[in-house]
Amino acid sequence: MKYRKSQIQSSETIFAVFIIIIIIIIALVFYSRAQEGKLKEAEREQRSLRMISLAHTITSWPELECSVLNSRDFNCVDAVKLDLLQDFIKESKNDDSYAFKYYSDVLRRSTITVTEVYSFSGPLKTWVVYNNSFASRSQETVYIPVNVYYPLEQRKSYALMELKVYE
Amino acid sequence: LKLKLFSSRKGFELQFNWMFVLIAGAVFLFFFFLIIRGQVSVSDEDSSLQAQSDFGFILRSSQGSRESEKKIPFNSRIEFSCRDGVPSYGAPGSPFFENYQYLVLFTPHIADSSQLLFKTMSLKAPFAAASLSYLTTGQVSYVFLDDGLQSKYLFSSLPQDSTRAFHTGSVSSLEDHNFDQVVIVFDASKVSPSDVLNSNLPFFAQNRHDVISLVEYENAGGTPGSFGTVRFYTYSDAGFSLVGESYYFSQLELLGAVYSGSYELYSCEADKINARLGLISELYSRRAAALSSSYPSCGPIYTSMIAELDEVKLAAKEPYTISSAQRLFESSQNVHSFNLKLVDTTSCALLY
Repeated sequence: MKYRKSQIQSSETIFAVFIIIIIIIIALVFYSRAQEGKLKEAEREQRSLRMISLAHTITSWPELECSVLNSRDFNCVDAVKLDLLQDFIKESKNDDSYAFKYYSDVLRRSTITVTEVYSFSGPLKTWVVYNNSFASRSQETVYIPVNVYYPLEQRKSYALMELKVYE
Repeated sequence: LKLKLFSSRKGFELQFNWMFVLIAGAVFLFFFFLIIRGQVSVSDEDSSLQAQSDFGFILRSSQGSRESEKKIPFNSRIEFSCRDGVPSYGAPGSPFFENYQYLVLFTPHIADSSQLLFKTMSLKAPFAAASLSYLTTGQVSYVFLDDGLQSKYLFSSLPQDSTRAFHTGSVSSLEDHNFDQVVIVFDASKVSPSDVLNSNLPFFAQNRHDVISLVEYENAGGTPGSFGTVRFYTYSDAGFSLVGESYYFSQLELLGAVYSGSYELYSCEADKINARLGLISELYSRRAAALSSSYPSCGPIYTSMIAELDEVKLAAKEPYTISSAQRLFESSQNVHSFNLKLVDTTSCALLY
C-alpha cells in the first residue's frame, strides 16, 4: 500500500501531538507525586503541633494539677485527681455526656498514661487517664516527667506522663 | 488566491495541517488555562486554610497558659460567628469554618490586622476552672464613657497595644477614626443609660453605623465585678437599639463582654463557661467526697462544700439569668470560705 505525502505529513503531526500528550501526562504524574509528599509533610507537621499544644495543655490542666489555695505546683499532678478523672472519663464515655464530648474535643485521638517510676513509699502505680487509641501507622509519642502528689499521705513520687497522638 | 489555495489538493493539505495545529494548540492552551486557574484557586484556599490552621494552633496552645499576653504577627483576616450555639472561625476563601465548641475565646466578629493581641486568663470559681482566651486587634477601638473603678479595671485589663480611651464627655462628640469596630462601654451606675441611648453619633457616616456596638453593664452584687447584667446595643439611623441581655458572675466574664462587644458571641462563650464550670464542679465534688472519707473529722466542712458545688452545678445547667449568675458567684465564694476554714482550723487536705 502506497501512502501519499500528505497522509504521511498528517500522521507525523498526529504522532507529535500524541508524544506531547504523553509528556504532559508524565509531568502531571510527577507533579502529583511531589504534591503528595508535601501533603504528608504538612500532615506530620500538624500532628507535631497538635502534640505540642496538647502536652502544654495537660501539664497545667485544672483537672490534674496540684494546687494549694490556687498556687500551682509546676509539673505536678494530684493522685486523687488522677483516680477521679480516670473513672470520670470512663463513665462519661458510657453515657455520651457533655463531659465525654468535651474531653474528646480537647484530647481527640490520643492516649494519656501516667506511670510512676520512683516512689519513696508504696507500690508503683499506673493510670490510664484517657484512651482513644486506634490502629494507626501515624502516631507520635512524647514523655513528660511529672511529680505525683498524694494529698492524703502528703508524699510525692516521680512519674512519666506518656502522651500518644494518633492520626 | 484564496480560491486557488482551497481548490488545489496541495492547498487543501496545507490548510488541513494548519487547522489541525490550531485546534490542537487551542486544546492545549485551554487545558493549561484550566490547570493554572485550578492552581490559583487551590493556592488561595491553601493560604486561607493555613491561616485557619495557624489560628487554631494559637487558640489550642493558649489553653495551657494561665496568665499570658502576647502580640502575634498574623497576616490574614479571621472572621468569627456563632450560629445555633456553635461558635466558629475561618479565613475568607476557606471552604469551611472551624468550630471551637469547647474552648472559650472572647473576640470581636473580625480580627483583621497584621498583629493579633492575644491574652489568656484563668477563671477561678474559686478553683481554676477554665482557661479563658481574649483576642482583639489595634483595629478595634474601645471607648469607656465613665472612669469608675470597674471601668478602670476593664480598661487596664485590655492589652497595652489595644486602642482604648476614656471619653467622659458627651457620646455625640465621639469621632470616627475609621476603625473596624468601635465598642462603647459604660457602667449603668455611673452614666445614665437614657442619656447614652438617646444620643446620636453625627461624626459617623451612615455606612459606618454597623461598626458601632454599645455594651452597658450593671453590677448587681455588692463588690465591683461580682455579678450582674450586661446589655448589647447596635447603632442605626434610629439610634441605639437593644440586641440582647446577658449576665456575668465574674470580672473575667464581664471583660469578655467588652472584648467581643457582641451579644451573639458573648452569649455563646458564657454558655461554654457555664458548661465547663458544671463539669469541673462535678470533679471537685467527687474530690471533696474522697477527702471526706479519709478525714472524718473534717466531714462536715467537706459536706458543706459538696452542697455548694451541687448548687454551682445546678445553676450552671440552667438558662443564664441574673439569679443563676448570683448563685454561681455566691456558691463559689462559699466554697472558697470553706477551703480557708480547712486551712485555718484543721490539718485536713484542701479541696484546691
